[in-house]
Amino acid sequence: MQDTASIDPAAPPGTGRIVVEGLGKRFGPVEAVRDLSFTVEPGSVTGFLGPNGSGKTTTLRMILGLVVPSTGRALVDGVPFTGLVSPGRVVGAVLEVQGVHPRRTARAHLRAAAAAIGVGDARVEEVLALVGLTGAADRSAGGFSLGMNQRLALAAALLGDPRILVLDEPGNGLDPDGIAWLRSFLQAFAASGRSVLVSSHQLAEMELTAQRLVVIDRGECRFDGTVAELRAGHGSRVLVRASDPARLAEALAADGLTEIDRVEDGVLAVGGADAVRVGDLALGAGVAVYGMSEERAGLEQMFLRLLAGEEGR
Amino acid sequence: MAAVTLDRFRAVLTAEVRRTLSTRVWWLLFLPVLVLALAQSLLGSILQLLVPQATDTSAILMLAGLASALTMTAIVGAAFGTLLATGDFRHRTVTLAYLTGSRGQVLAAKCVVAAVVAALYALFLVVLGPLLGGAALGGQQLPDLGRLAGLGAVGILVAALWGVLGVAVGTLVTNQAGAVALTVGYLLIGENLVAGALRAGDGSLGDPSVFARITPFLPGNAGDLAVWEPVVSSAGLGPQAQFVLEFLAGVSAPPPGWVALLVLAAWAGAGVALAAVVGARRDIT
Repeated sequence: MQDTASIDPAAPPGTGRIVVEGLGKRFGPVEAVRDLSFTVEPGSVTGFLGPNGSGKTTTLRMILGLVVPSTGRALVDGVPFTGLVSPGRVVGAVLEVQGVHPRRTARAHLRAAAAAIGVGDARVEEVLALVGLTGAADRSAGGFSLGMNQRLALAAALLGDPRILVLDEPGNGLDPDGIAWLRSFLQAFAASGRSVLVSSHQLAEMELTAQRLVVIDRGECRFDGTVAELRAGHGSRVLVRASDPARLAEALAADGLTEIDRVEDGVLAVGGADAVRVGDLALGAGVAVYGMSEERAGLEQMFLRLLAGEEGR
Repeated sequence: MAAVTLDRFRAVLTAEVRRTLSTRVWWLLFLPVLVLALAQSLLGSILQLLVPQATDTSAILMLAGLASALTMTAIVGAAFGTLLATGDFRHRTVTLAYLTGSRGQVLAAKCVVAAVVAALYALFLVVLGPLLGGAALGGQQLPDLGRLAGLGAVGILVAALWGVLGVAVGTLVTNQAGAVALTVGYLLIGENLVAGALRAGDGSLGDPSVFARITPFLPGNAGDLAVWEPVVSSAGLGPQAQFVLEFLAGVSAPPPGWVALLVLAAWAGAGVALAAVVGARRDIT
């Protein structure tokens, strides 16, 4: 695949924003998505996280006008998707079950889409080169690997040079090289002032790719904010080895820090505070501190804690 | 705004043409039409049973054979329309189609493509049928070219309308095998059963019942009637004409051919309208 420098640095005009307002979808007795609201801003990659079956795909398809919402609405560039005059020039999408006719070549597939979007065939060659499929362009898509199909879907999404990209589990089937390429591609795309909404269950990958996160579980929003905010709320803990852990725990609790775990003999893990505050409180309580370190939880841990915490409510 | 809308439709239509030409269904269906063209003379001989004065070489036989083959070509056209509409659902390419054009534009583009391809099937038959079918038997008189052209024009129109109806059915019933079986099965068998039931109890003499009078307004019968009418009226059968036409098209109390064409067009319009409404609300999951 080519390097990401080939993305046009000048962002196209338009708000490039996705606004989801009270979105809900009911399939018969199943409430797939309930009262979901969040905003995707240009200039950053927004990760859309949730366990399997949490409503991610349904939400993305509602944003793209493929699934009709039961309640609420989703605005793309200020209007519902179906109100876009040239949707292919505003939004590009890579969805999980996005087919290609098995007898159609990659080039023919893209040329048809290019005609619908209203871009020339030269653009087809550009996106083929961008995703590294030029050599396979005249092969029938029926013989493509999962990874090649993902790249073909990405090529189709980029045809119209859109200002918004929506991707549903785009890493599926990509090899590690492909995932690394996709990550830097999405970051460069967002850095050029455009919007990226990408769903994934690969949490570690999201931690490297996304600046903002929307976390949903069972169709409901659990978190909407930056990765840093998620860390501040759920992430870092201070590990402190003290002479009298029980007295320190009392002092911490008295100051409102109740998220305390005894991780091993003489060591407390304190959530919701930094080392300075814990150290000051220990000094005030007259407890000797033998060592302190800040533990930065991985996104996966935070995510699990987030879901577990909400469940207990 | 209107200019933008037209531009967008042209773009979506171009995409649909490209999608169609990059697969083989459209030309594979020329094969059954070719078979029909070859068999056309055999089909024409049915008229000899009904019109004793027709000889082996009568020009009317070729017209009758062409009419018979045209009614079957319309079924091929309907099958193509159904395949065109359901193919996107079968291969899940409908997602990309709906992401790059509105649902209404995609449906309209498919109607245009199906109408044109189905019309091409009929045109192919109109041109090749008399040549191949005539050559197969040999020594047949070519009918008057004006009559041939008139019949051909009606047959092409009927096939085109059936192509559109096929798209409507395929949009409503997205399962490809089911939709094709429904369309072709209805035209080959289903409608005959319906018409038979409606005409049950009617004798060959006397006025047809209210139910029997519905039969020319069924879509398949309306198309058949439109195609057969010019043939029968040019055969000079006199008072027998209506009876022969009723037998050939399988209807009672047939209206004029142009009314039958309008009836089929109304079915196509209603089918597309229903497909547009249902298609617009469908969740693509």
